[in-house]
Amino acid sequence: MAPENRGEPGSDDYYREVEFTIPSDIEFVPMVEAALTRLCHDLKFSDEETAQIAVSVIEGVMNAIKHGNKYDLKKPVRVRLSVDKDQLTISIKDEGEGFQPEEVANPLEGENLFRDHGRGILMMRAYMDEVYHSEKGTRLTMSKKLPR
Amino acid sequence: MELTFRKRGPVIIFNLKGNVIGPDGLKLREAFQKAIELSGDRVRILINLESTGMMDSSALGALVNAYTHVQQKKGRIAVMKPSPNIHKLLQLAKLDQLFESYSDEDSAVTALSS
Repeated sequence: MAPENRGEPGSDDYYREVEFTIPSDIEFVPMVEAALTRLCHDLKFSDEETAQIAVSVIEGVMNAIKHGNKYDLKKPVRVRLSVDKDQLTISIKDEGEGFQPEEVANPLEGENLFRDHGRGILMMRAYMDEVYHSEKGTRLTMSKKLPR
Repeated sequence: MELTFRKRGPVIIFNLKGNVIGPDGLKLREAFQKAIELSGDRVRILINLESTGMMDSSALGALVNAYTHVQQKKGRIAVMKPSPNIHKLLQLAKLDQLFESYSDEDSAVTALSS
């Protein structure tokens, strides 16, 4: 379905959306980062916020490739970026079996501090205003309020 | 990511420039592992994070993986001059509790050489 773009910049009904699909190959991750960084600069996010948003999206895409699609090149990762008058929203969808985020070990507790993985969700939650997973756990949605 | 390294006394100094994201985490992990393997016992590693832009969790994982392997070999590993973004990230992940941190190369090399 074609994105529903409407409204003029600054208007209450402003909405722009772009969606792209990448194969489950981590070599494509920097491309996603580059597109997002450009968008964040256009939206006047600070350099620090831009880096934080970019890292959050990288985490989401990496999780979709590794844990969702398990590097299966036949399974795509879909990334949708949308902007309305208030916020930037990013949605990342994989074709995996899903997971329950509450079952992911807290990387700040005890021996988990010494594990060499499992910090992605921590970073996303620290950097974005909202982070939520679909009930099945195959779609991640994150949002960040636009700078004023 | 631009990764270079050199040796000063017994200390291997890694310079990590730019963003460390996506496939960079694996490359960084392999570079640390190779250095640790070639160094024998009591390996000393210093990671210069002064010009590091952003890191994802894969890059953090490479740091923790290096920390674990260095500890197993009774060595020492430290970071130096983390950029403001990286300093906040290390605090967020509580990795500032794992890594010794130094504000300049001379004091870091002196401490790690002892």
